Amino acid sequence: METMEKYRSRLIFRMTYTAVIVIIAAAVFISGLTGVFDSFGPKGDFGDFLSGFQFGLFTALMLAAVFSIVKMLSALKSRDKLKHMYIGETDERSKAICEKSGHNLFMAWCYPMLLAAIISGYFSSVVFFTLLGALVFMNAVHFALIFYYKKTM
Amino acid sequence: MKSKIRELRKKNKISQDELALAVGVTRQTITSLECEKYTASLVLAYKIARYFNMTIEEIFDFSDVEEL
Repeated sequence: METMEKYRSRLIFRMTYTAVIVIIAAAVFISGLTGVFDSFGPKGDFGDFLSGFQFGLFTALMLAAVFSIVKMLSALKSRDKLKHMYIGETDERSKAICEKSGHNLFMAWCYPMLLAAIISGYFSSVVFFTLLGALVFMNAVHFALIFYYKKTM
Repeated sequence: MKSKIRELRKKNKISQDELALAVGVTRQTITSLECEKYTASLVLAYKIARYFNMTIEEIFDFSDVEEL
């Protein structure tokens, strides 16, 4: 079983790669503001929608990563918060719910599909919306399963 | 699975949060155990038993467990 010290070092490592995500997302955010991506990809309404979608996605990613870093920093400063965070992540019922709802499989599908949707948007609006629709449907099913198992377990 | 967790907790005047923190699970897990919605793992059952200075069999009721 993992000790709190091991968890602390794992959290520091996690914080480092989250900071890298913030830097990448910030770079995309700034590029989006300066209009660097406007010269690429489709034009017209769909082009506006696609750039808006990507801009919103990276903004949300950046904000989530910053929030996560703040949370991890605060946990590293206080032993009580660190223990609560550790318990929250290692709780056996939560792990059982994740296993039953196929959380790992969902995550393994979600990110490549999102990346594929973004890339396909530059070539075909049909493929983009199909992938986006599948992603929304997968999310809905996943959260419905989590909700169901949280109520029954 | 039936258990005496709620009974023991009330007898010892311990809150769900305190027990959860002591055995390393969330409060919701303790609630689920008390409501018989969730069956504890062997490690968790051992931790709970050790917390109350009892054996696993004294806390958890295994009479419903079918023998093959």
